[in-house]
Amino acid sequence: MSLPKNLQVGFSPQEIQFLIENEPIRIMPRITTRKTKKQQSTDLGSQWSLLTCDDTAVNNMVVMNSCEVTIWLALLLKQQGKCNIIVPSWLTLQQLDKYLEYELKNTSRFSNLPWNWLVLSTLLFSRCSDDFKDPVHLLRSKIQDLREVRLGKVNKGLQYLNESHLQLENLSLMEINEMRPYACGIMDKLRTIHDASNDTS
Amino acid sequence: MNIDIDDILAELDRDTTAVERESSSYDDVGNKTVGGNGVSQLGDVEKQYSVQSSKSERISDFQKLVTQWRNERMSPELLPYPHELMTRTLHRIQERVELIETLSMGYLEDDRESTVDSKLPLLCMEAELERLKFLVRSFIRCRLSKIDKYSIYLRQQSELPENPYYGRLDLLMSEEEVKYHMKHSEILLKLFNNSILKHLPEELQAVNDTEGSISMVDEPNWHKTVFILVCGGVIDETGTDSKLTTDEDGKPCYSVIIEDLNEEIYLLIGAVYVIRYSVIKDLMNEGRVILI
Repeated sequence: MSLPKNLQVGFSPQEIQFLIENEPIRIMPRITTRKTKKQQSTDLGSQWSLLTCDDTAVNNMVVMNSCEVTIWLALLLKQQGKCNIIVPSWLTLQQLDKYLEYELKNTSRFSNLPWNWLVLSTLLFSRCSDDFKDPVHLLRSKIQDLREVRLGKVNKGLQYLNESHLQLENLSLMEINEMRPYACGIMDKLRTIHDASNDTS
Repeated sequence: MNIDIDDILAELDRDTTAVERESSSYDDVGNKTVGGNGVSQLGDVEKQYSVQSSKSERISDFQKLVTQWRNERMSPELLPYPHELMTRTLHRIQERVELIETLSMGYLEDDRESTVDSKLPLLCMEAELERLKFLVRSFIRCRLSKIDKYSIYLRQQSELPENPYYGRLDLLMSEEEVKYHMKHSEILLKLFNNSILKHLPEELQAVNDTEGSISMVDEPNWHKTVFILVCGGVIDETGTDSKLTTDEDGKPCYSVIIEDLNEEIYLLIGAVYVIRYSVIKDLMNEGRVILI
């Protein structure tokens, strides 16, 4: 068919990353794109104009003045060595420790990590590991800890699957996507069984 | 004594943004228009959008497209084609391709002062174009696979006179999709007829038989389990969201009823639910929830 089988049940991890790359992030530019009035009149060609996101920010970049751009653009600039990415405030040892503590204390609830935490941290670790203030290997192991604790909770939560509905709090997009095929399949089957028993009675 | 001046401040704020608001007020409900005017407007829309569209509109169009793509990927049925949105997007892609070509030609001419810096915008524009094209391609491919799957069902529905969406295949699908749908089912039918069906007794030759032990028409699984995000924020003609209610804790939410189980569920704004599709279908079409 025109859509591969494995994409029909959910999104692929790359597509989740694509979605998350459309979100904004703060950067420290290393180039200046803001033009003085005189420059503006002489060269119009090298102006940025973007279709899918706001281009005023990238047209007004000044060296070492932070500004907000979309993640994919930030990663592209980073690759060229034109900017430093400002790591979000939750991605520090101190904050992650707090989240981890919360996770361990509340066995039935998830901490309110941002909904792109898993993807964003992986992306930033691999693409701009030099922008972190804390040592990256420690952050990486903290993220791994968080991931494992949460995975355990997700597995425990699967026993509550039923035929009507389920409310999920603070699960990230990636985690949702991982449990989707299993959870949907089970709930569909439970519903079919439930409906069938209603029909005969 | 405290004087609450929030409303006065809000009014002042509104004045400065009035211009921007006006330009972005073009709503995308064209795909919901019933009857003849939906398609005949398409030509006009194309003309309108050859003029430069405003920035906020471009961004909101992209976000709408992302939402459409996610909904289409996860919903069991074929959703109505966003005619106007797609016309605008395709038009912009075309313009962008031409712009990039012109720009890169300019770079070829004066290569003495082209440094890495001046090529950066071009690089980003190309990357962005690829991202947008991927989105459109994935969206269309997903729709085509659904058209394949439900081809007999779609054909049957289009013959029912009273159904507003399915009665008009051209509202549900784009022109090319209708063409694909017709041709593809024709080819498939020919193959089946020639290879097997003509050897069967006459009463067994139909491919859309629903009387037999198993219905041959594949209907979308209306009760499929889906993950939703309740976003709310839709303001209808009453000035507020008329479907919005509050639960016991006073938080804003939508209430839906699962008929089979006689169960009422409150969908809190901003929360994620796993729920059957038939229950939230209307809320999704109005943009109050999105599938994730």
